[in-house]
Amino acid sequence: MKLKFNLNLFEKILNNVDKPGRYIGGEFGETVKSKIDGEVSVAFCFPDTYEIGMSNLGMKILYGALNAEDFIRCERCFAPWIDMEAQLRENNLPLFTLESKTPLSEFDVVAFSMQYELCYTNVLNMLSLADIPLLAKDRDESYPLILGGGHCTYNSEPMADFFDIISIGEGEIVLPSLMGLYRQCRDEGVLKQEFLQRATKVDGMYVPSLYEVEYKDDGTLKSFTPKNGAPAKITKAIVENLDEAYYPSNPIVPYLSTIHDRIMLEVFRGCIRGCRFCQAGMVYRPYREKSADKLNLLAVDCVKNTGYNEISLLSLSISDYSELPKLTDEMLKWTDEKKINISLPSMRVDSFYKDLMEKVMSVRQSGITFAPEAGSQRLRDVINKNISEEDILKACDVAFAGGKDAIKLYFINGLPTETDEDIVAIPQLAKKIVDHYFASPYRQKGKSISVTVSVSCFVPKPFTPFQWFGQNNIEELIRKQKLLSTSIESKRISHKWHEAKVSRLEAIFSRGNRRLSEVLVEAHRRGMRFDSWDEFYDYSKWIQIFDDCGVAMSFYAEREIPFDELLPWDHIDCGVSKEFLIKEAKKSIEGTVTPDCRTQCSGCGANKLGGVRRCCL
Amino acid sequence: MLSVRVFFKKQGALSYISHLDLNRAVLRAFARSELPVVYSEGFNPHPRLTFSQPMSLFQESLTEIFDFKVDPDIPYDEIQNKLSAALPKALEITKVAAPVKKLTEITYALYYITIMGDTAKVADILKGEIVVFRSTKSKSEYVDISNQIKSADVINIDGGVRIEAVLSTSPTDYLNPQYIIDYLSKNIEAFDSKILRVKMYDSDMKEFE
Repeated sequence: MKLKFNLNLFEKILNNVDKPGRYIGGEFGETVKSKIDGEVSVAFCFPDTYEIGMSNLGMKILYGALNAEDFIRCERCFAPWIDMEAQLRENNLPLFTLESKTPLSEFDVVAFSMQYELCYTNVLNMLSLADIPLLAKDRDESYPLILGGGHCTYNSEPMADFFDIISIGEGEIVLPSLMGLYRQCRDEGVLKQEFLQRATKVDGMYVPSLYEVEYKDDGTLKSFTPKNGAPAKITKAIVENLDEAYYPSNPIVPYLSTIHDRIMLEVFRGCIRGCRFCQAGMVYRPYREKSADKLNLLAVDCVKNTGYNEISLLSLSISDYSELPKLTDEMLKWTDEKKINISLPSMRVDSFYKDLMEKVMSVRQSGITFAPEAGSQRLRDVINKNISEEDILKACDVAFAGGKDAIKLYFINGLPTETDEDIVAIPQLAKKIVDHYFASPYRQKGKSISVTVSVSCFVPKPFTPFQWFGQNNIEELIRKQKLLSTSIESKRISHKWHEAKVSRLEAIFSRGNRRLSEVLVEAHRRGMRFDSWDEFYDYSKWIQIFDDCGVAMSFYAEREIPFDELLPWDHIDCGVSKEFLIKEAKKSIEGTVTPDCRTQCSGCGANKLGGVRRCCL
Repeated sequence: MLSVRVFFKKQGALSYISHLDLNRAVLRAFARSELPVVYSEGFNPHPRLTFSQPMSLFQESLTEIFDFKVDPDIPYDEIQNKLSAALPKALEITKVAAPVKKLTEITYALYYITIMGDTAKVADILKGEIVVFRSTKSKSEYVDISNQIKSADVINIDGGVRIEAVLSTSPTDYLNPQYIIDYLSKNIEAFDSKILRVKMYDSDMKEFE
């Protein structure tokens, strides 16, 4: 018997949970459509809390793009917090959408946006709360189509068994097409299996059940074979012209304060830089920009429609935007008067100049963040960061001149070829900045400086030149963190680090194959969820689960993979070619850098996807 | 410069929104409405917005108030139209007018407190001392709140009671009706409570305008 939704009961349980505003919808800008004949209904699910999901730009874009179609009714659902989950289970209430309080199981399509690997257990938990069988093979025609998308889908193999379709790449054009196909097939009385085969004709649609996987005795892939006419390679979908693509200028304005509670203006997609550890820098290629004129108009609309007083210009590296001076000048003509702040996250040190800082930095912010990623020049060359110590100190000068007295630096521990000298170079660099401050003419009387060194652990990611390199084991990562800590010689330098135990699980699922679905089912059975939340992450439980499933964690996280091995994600084509990635991996070992895509085309292959590009012109 | 008083209902979905979040929602509605709202002076200017005594999460009200100023002057009905269009649907404006008295002069409010329980027992309890443990930022202590209950009529309704209570609701002397419910639940079998603020009064028990 399917669970029914009881509105009275729902109102009662709201009284028993923290932050009930997470579950009620009704925010300004929400789209509430009435159910109509012939519609395709989509429950768009974000497998984390409301505050995190509502900060996700992808969700805003797709919610708007889907609802822009008359025949699509798209509603939202987020992972209920632990207290709400307990209430739902106790009262036999199914998971529901915010807009119409409809159980997920009553939708035609249930779509999950997967942005990080540690949300996988939440996806399963949400399916179970919705009373929907986890495995695609266990769901008959009566269940909704389960669709996956988001950043993780470049290697979604650990989740492959749970999804009917996984949408690879940018969804704002292809998802409405897929919904159109769904409606057409329903009208024709076509069954799910036939629909799935037809769906493979829509750009970027990957139907995991149409592939046969064979393994070798050592656990590596032997073959990955398409069935029933499915394509051997699934090429990601892209938006060719960002100026013409749908963009949400009237996003929902939440009551609750969310993580990014401001206007998010997407400036460009892709990156010209090519840092070798960075997945986003590879999979979002080719580099495509929105024009400054279009962005300025969008910004005006967004402010008018939302009432926000902050606009964040989003991209992977904002200073690479070719029209940045024009855009900021145009915006400042009206934002100052309206008391609206512009913020530029992701600023590179080699392009942080005074003029820009004065334009966009709020006087109230005392600090600024840069990401050198590695302490030594040698290692920065290995990862192709393409910045020098001089660049870093110059950027700090600009910051000091602007009255900033707190510098935060991001680094990665455990990068390929890293030695103890590279680790010690991190606090040394921080010390140089401290010394630089005291020698600086901009030093303010009676003021001091604080430098925060924030260190994460290297996670090998699919579709990066570093995908073949292993992650350091836990002991080694912890040893390196300690070495770094004890090498700090100044009171003005503080050290923060990311838990190695969390990064290890990320690495496992990042490079995972379909054998991990069994581990995920078991993890779900044992109540694992919210793994990206410190208070719920339990590494010892994960060790037990992998052990009990007979799956070796080190095989996925630590192993160095030979270039000629068949990878679990080789059937996905993100644009950038494997040959390019191999070439980059080899150059990294030699410590040879590759110039950015504007200086010289490095032949990554993403230009074959077309689009209005601003790289390799 | 024109002073503006907005009366609104806080019901349904809005009762799950905290005062801080509501405050922010109104500020954003100001920005969307493009009304010439008057800002504070100083380093970090923000619209001058003042609410009547805020209610706790889950409590509902037919008569909440916020005050602000516009410059230049515009007709109240125009303000009401523009603001209504810019506010979330759940926030229903009932009246926009000139303030008659200062918000600090609100002294009492009438609440309907419904609770499932025995009418006679509830009425009996409300006649005596009601000692509750009250903690604020500065101190925590046992206090008798019965002197903050100006009047309380207990009315029998289906399966329970409705207490029509006039409670102290001034900035310096404020009784959160939840204390009454907590006290009842502790002493008799009582559950499924609801709190609705119905009216606000000045010190002479004249309806606040």
